[in-house]
Amino acid sequence: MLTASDIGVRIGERWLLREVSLNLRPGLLTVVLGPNGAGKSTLLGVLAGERPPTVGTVSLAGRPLASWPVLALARRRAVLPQSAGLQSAFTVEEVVALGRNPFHGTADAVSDRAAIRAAMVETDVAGLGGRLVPTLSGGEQQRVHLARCLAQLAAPIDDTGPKALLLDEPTAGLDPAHQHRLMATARRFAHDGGLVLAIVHDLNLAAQYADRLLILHDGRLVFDGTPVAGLTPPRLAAVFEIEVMVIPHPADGSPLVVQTGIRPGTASLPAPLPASRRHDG
Amino acid sequence: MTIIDAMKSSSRPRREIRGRAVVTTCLCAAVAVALLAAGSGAVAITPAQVLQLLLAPLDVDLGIATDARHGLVFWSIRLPRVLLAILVGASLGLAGAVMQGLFRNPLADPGLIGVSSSAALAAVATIVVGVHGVGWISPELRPYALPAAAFAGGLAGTLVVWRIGTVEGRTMTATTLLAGIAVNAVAQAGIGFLVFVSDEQQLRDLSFWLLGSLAGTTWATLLPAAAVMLVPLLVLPLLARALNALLLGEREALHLGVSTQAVSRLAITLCAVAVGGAVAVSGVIGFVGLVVPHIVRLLTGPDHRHVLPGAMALGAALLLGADLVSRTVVLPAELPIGIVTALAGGPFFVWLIRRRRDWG
Repeated sequence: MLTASDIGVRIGERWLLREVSLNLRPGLLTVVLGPNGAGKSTLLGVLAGERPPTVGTVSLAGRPLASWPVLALARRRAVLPQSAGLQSAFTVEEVVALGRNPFHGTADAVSDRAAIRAAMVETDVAGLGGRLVPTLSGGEQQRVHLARCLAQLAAPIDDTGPKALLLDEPTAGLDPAHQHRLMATARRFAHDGGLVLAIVHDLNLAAQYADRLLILHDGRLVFDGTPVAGLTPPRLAAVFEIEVMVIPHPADGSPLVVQTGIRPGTASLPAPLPASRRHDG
Repeated sequence: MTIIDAMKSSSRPRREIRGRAVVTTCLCAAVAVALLAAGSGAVAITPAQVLQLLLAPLDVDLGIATDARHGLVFWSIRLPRVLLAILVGASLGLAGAVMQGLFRNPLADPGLIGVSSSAALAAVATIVVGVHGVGWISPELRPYALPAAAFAGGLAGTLVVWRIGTVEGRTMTATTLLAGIAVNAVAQAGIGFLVFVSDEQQLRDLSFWLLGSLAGTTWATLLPAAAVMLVPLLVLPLLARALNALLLGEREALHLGVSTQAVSRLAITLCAVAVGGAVAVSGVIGFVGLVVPHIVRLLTGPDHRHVLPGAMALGAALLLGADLVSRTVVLPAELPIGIVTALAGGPFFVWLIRRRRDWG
């Protein structure tokens, strides 16, 4: 439904993203992994229609993104950016209600209240309704903005078609319980017929929840497939420069990545192991 | 659970009710001060008599005695001045609220995008160049030379700021704000130079004008100003929802379906028209655009659906009050109104800073 054809993004002489082609389908939770500077946020920004790619095209529901009016786009897809820094003294409920702005004056406005309530319950911010958003912790604010995105989409799929939810590091700043809760929400949204793309840093969170895994490295898409196929020690060593062991998760059999250290010889930092040996000697 | 839910879900309506109540109160305050202002001065007219005078053309007789002198003073002196105060106050308050929302900066002021200082520069230039410069204009149009120059100067200054702030077709709010500061500085230098070369009479004229005044308002000056300034007053409040979304950030607003480029251009243009118009007819009146939106936001919260109409009403009320003070406190002379607004606004602003809370 959301398709990128051979897209590249260049800033100055540097390609932040190149030769990326993918087709995101509803029904699947797609997780993007990659080290810092791999081009994850750039990819998400291009897929969100925030910036046009230097080369290539992106289309949603068969129509080039550039030809979508912003309002029509806002009724079909929501974007949770990294750390939205809201300083205004809006209450939690007011911020979530802003998600319904695209439907102001349409027939869908009748479901505003219900969509806002449901989104607040789903993200566990119903109890914060009257609090001022700038007074909340970073993690709480993140959940409020997720609630705003969920309220914007109301349902994963409706008679206009499936909706798209793009999440840029949604678990950053969340405690473990809320990280799992968020990933479960994202997965449920996808399994109920929506399209979800989430950038995540935690390899195990990705392994546990992703239906489809994308790995970006130096602006290129180096892997596109299942977490089991993607999370292999050689690939993680090449992309993330870490030494890992991958074992089956005792609970659900998904890959469990145990990080044992920095890949020797590649890190610019002094390797910790020889130093401790010297200390022993 | 249901009771708790009901209590929680009532929190938004409560803020909404509060917002509407604040707007209504500000409107009532504006009407009350308008009635008071229309009646105060050398010829005293009671509020009841003002009502009677207003209703007389509609053949409504409240049975309140008024004499011909009342009618003359009210219709030809007081009413145009009161209406101009409403127009200018509402425009400054509204433009300030829109600017603060658009730039997500609680210190943004209509003057910050360079509009007031460039309007002032054009007006001061007109005063100093004087009759030599306007000799080619027919005598009956000469009274309009100053406001027209101020208005054109304000728009020109905004255009410059806008061009600096627009990079590759995108208007960057932060760059625009900084460009406004730069244009302000250059315009102030120009004003300083003109003050330096002006003679004594010109100096009196221009210093009075730089401090703002509604003195000498007639229907002839009011009506063209009203025609121009009503456009932003009617259109800017329609941007309330878009401005709310913009408070989340430009990207977030875009994802919520707001055409951020179109909205910021429209908002900047209309603010320039509103403030340029206000400066053209009344000179530079400081602090109203800065302080009024803060007072309203303090009472209603940041929702622009309440802040914008509230700032219009409170701006009108405050300017009516300030004008009333300026023309009655040092009788028979008149104090420039900018002195009154700055004197009241300055200490309030200090209090605002000391609260150390961000209401932007």
